[in-house]
Amino acid sequence: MLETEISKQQSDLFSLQQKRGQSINDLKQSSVTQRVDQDKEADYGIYQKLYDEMKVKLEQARTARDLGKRAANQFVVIDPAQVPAEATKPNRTLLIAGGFGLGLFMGLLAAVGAELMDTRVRSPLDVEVYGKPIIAFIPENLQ
Amino acid sequence: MQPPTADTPDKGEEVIQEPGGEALERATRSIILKPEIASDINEGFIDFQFYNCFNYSLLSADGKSVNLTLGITSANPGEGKTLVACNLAVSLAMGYGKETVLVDLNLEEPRIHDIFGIPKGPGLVDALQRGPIQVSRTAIEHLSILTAGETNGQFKPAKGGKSVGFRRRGMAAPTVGLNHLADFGSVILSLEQQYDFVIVDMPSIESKGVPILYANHLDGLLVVVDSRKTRRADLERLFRRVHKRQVVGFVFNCFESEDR
Repeated sequence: MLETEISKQQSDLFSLQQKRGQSINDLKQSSVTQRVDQDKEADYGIYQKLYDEMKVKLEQARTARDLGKRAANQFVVIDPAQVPAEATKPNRTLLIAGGFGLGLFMGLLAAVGAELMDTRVRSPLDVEVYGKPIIAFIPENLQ
Repeated sequence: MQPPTADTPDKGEEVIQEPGGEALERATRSIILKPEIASDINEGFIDFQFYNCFNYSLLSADGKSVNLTLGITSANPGEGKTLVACNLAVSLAMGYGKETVLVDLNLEEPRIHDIFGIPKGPGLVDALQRGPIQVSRTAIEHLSILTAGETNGQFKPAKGGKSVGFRRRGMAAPTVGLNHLADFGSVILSLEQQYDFVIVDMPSIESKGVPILYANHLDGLLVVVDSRKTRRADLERLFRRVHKRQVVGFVFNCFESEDR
């Protein structure tokens, strides 16, 4: 009798343990599901926000396009731009004249510099300081 | 001044009688005229257009002819000393008709014997060794030449002396030193006794081959200026080595006239 009772109690215990395990599993599954739901809700919120922003931008673009069309109809070209027949730059005459002038100036500067730096005795004036006569000038073209 | 007179011919050579007193006779040497006459003259070098350039009346204060012993020098080598010396000697000999001797003191690179087509020696170096003064006559009347002489090995280089020209040719430098100064004076004195004009072709002042004191035996120096080369600093350097009173005048060589 007692054994029967024990056996029954054990059977109940086993059954209860199974139920407990089942309940624990259910609880776990319920928790995971709840977490997935929360993630989906968060994603939905982000996408909803992006959608709203894009919608606003689309509205703004449409408004700008409508404004442009309206503005284009409002302006009138009074003095249309003229395409010049000849190139305005470079001014070749000015460049040639400037180059010639600059070259002339540099040449004169170089000549003056060379003359100042030339210390050769080329003139009777160069030996005048010694107070001695020059008794002959032998020309360069004779040699 | 009497023209040289020949006396006592010896081996085809003529010895000129030395005038003057006993003291002068001690100082002077006998002058021997070589038998050959220089006639193969380089006409590209001795030319009318060159020797006609000289106005040597400027050398004397009164413009009259003077007897002169002139050294021709320059501040740097290669400025035309030999050209000027040769043509000045020719000009004096032809212009004044007086006895003129041209002496080649450019012992480093003697050229006068080549220009007049005569043997190089015997010449000045032999006379500096107390030998006789052997002078060559030329086809130009009244003009004689005292060549440099055979210089190789006869003179040892002076201490510190350099001879670029001879070193280049791998030859011994024929530098004369102060020990020959008195002999040079004696040679010049001897020539002055027999010649109205003694023209000495000297090396440049910068040359170390010949001491500058040799110029003291001359009446004056004629400085050749090459208008293409000579610089004012060169002349200043020259006048630091020779006294201003030693210079009697200038000759402009390669002169570029401004009115051309």
